[in-house]
Amino acid sequence: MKNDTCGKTKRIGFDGKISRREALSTAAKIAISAVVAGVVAGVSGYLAGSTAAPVKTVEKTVERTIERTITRTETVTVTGTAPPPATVVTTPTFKLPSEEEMRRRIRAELEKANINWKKFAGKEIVISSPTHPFLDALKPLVPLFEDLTGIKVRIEELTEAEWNQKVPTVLASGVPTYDIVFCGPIYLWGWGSAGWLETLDKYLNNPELTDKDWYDFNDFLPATIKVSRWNARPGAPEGEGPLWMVPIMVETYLLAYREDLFKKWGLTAPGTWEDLLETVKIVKTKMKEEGLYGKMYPLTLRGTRLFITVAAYTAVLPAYGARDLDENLVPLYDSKEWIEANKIYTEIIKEGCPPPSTFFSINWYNVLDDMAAGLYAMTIDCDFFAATWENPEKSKVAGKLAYTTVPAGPAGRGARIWAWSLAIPRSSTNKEAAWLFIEWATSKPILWWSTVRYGNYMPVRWSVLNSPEVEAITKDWGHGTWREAVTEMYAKYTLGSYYTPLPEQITLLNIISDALHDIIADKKTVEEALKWAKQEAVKALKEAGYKLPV
Amino acid sequence: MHKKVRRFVKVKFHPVLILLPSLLIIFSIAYGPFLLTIYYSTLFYHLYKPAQVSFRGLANYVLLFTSERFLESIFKTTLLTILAISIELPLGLAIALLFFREIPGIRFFRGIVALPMIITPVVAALMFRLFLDPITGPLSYLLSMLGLPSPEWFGHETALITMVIIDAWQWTPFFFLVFLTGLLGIERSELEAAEIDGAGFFQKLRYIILPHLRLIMLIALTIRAIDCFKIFDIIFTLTRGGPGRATEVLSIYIFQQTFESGLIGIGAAASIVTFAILMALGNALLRMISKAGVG
Repeated sequence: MKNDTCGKTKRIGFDGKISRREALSTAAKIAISAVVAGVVAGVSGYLAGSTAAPVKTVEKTVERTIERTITRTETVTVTGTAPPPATVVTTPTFKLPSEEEMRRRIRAELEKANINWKKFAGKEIVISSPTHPFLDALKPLVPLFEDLTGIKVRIEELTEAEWNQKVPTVLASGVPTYDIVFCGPIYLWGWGSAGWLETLDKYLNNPELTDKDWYDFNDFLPATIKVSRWNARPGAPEGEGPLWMVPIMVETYLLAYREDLFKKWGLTAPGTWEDLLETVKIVKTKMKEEGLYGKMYPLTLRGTRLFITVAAYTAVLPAYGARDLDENLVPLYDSKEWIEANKIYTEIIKEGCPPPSTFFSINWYNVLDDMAAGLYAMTIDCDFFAATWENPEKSKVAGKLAYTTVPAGPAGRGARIWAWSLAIPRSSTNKEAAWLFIEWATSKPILWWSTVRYGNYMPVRWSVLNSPEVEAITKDWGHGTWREAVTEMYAKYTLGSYYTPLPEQITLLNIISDALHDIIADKKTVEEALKWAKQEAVKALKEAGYKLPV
Repeated sequence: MHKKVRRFVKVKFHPVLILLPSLLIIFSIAYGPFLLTIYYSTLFYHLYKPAQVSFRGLANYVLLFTSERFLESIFKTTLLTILAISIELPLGLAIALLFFREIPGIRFFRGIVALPMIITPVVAALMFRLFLDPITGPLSYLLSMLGLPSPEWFGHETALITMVIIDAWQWTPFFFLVFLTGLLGIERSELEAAEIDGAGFFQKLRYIILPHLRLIMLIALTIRAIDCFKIFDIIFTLTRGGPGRATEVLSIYIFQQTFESGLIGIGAAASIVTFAILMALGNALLRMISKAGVG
């Protein structure tokens, strides 16, 4: 018996040709199936309970933030641009003295709130955020919150792609992991309708947690609150229903143009989309005459899949009165208005932007960088890009740009906003402590400080945008045109998200991108491409379980 | 009898019992999710509508195999894999042969050649975006000095080729390293004997080097083919599957269905189809490896 067993072992492991082949084949098969199983696990692993993965960045994050505070203290000097104290009229009335003094004053402002900040001392909250400049603006201030409340804050920071996958899976699992998640309109449509988020009105209206006079909820830019209120029913309009998130940073879109070149060529800022098409044609001719064309192009817009649909495109559609879906969620991509808007938009791109193959690779960061490098005469993109473009250290066009509102069309003028916001997952076990953090982070003094000191543009409160310090910093951007354009946009022309709130909206936007790409590359006519887009969108919505009357 | 049973248990089951905990962990990590994916693939399961889960048998698979978009993504993935490997393998071999000699400092250069492999794909993609930029990129500048136009890197017809080039840049070093290891295993005396017999470079390559490398080549090919089939980061960073759907490979399709559309059932079914394709590919290559092993 004993010998037998030994014999077997020996044969499997070390004997002749056949078994070596067997061993090799088996080993390789195991290796391959492990690798292959990995692929499959990529999707399913998330759903199978790996969701409760531990938060890693704990102590480190806090340490790093403190370091950053110190380094930045030495390099940033906003004091120079702040106006003399005599002219300070609006609250908050700070003038950026020493860091220590600043901390003291901010703290004094916070303590004016008629609530007990220390109520949840000793608790710990976990925040999940993608890597983004607003986080850099917020992190240095977190120790202030810990000091004020005795609540410990851990921030889990992931790249946007990772964050996009991890947060839905964590929230879907229902395991208490995060107390605050960064959120935004498109995320809200998925997470809110899935029932993963907590509504926030009860915290906002609880006098023990919120001093409403001090917090001044009406101070928020109206569009940012519009996108945060929703009935959580796919297709329901924004602005109605409970509050799901509180905005912390906002963007809308502006037309920026090279004032120096426009002056030289005797041009004025285009006021309508028709004007823009004409201007683009003239600029192109002028550039050709001066031998600049090819090294420079008249216009840049976002061109990559999905991103092509979220900036300037959201300004041309409403200008022509186009709507994306009707009340029954049937896509209206083949409607007269939608076709008209797409015709002029794609014509402007074909005339003014780089050739299709290049255009298709332009993302928002290319618009930001290449405009700063002086490669374009015009763009329609984020308002806060001006902070980079007007900084002579980062931009060749500082002082050469002017800004105006997005062009108008037959149905008027408007553009969507995007607002990064803070929300509380339903699975959180520290919801009240989390609300204190949200209230703190979006309060006047903290938003003001994160803006003037750490460049959190655009601030979501009028009082911050119009504070003397922010005014002093931004008043010369575009020789004053930037402030005018921004104020006009947020006061009159911001539409909320523009697209119908629907968890599947990204899928629909991908389909629209594909149609736009086909039009721009002359593969299809506008009508053909949009007819195709409608069919695809109907198919996708039906796959997602909607019963459409078509 | 009693003794026999005890001995039987000891000899037969003792190893199994010892291995059991780790086997359980491995199976629950590697195969648990896999079985769960099979289960999900038979459901209507929408990430954002958790209340509406319902069983629908093979309907997801029917939907996939009647979807032009899915079939095209299989075709694009296959095309990309074949093109990428048919560049990487010969090029890797050529570079390995070039570096297979004793020159002072050669180790340093071998290290340099292997560098692209350790760069994160997202970074590689962004680097190429800058490098290929038709207005500011160094490549278009060089081409313009020669009076040549910059190619259409991200057009409908060319974007997939651009992805192949970036993948080849990043993964040729993998074949290089594997082949170099293989070459270093060849007895010098064998090659010297061939030289004495008057064999030229191509004869040495044909009769000595390639037969020696055959097994290792097949193994490298298997690993790379499976890896290439899963390509995601480079494409997601640069085009997100665009322009149109020109670079929408399987993993992009699965990502978009699962996370962007929330259609977990369809995403899971597409994952299982991918798994089946990779299994078939892996098995075919393994059979070749076994034959090569015998030969």
